Amino acid sequence: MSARCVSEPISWLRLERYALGEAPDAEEIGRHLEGCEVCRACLGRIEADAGTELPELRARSPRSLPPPWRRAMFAGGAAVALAAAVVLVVGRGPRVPEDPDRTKGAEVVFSLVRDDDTLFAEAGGTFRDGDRFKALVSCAPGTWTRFDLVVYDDHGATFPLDAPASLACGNDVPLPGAFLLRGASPMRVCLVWGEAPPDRGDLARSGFAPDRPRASCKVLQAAP
Amino acid sequence: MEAYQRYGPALLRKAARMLRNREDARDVVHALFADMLEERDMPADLPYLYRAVTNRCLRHLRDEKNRARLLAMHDDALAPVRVRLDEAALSMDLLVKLVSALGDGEAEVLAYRYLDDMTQEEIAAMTGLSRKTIGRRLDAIRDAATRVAGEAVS
Repeated sequence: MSARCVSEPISWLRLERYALGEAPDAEEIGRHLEGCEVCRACLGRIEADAGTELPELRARSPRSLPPPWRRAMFAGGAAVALAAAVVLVVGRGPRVPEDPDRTKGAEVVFSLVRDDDTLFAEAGGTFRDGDRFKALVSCAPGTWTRFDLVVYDDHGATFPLDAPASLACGNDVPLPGAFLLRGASPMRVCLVWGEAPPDRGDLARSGFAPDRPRASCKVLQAAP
Repeated sequence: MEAYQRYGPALLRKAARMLRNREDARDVVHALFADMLEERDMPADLPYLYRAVTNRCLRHLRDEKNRARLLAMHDDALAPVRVRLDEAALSMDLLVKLVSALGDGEAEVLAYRYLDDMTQEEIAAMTGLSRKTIGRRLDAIRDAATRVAGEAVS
């Protein structure tokens, strides 16, 4: 008869992090391992494999990043319409900082797609009160980055996404959710990214510093 | 590169669990870190890298040439599910068929749940998806597994 885990097996990732001393729940894992022969054996396999020799790491020749996508996509508005809507209520205000599209580092490009399939790939555009948008991100395939979306107006920052999204990079990867722009004052929609989830409190408190790296913005003017 | 030395072995084990082949696993992990050398801003924590390797392995399995070669090394079609869902839980044959039958998001969940033993909570935290979405994807995986298994015995 085969041995059974005493409860829910500890995942391999948790075991690996435990073996590295990086598990945030090390005590819980330790308690489980004390009573679970099966998971303890799995940890033993990790430890026994610790002497694994890795091949020498050599950088490949430089490669080009994926080209910015300018092609129209989202063949149907349904994709946007079906996406979970996150409603932004942004008040009218006197001024949005005037700052054209800015990308620090060429590794990430983003566009906004309105639900009439209009693609905003450039630095700006127009919106009508109640327009719904979805953000599409292009970044080097095979990499992972955490993204957040911030909408600035004179009242400060609003975050359309439920939470910063961790995305597998590729071309035209949609950020989860869609959002509405309401009002008649200019909006500045910014994509921010980083290894760690962008700190919303910091973004909201400090505003969008002109020299902030890993960010790109589009200024949308209210349509007349 | 420090991350390569620190996390490389764990990622190699993870890739080998998915690909059932140490050499292919080395290639996948090496390619990931070679890319990291070029893209210096790439995150270097283990969960991030784990996910990156998962997706690279899925792409590797979807590649027809790799698939044929890897299948040739494994003739253990449809092995029974074991108590602990590790490398023998899914035979190579069933794995490549499922990966081919599933969409990207479902295949990723398949890898986490059935190859990495992650709970739904862990998968949700890893992917940023809701528990409900994870549940739906697991349902789709089970449906696909039933179809694939049915085709295999018919």
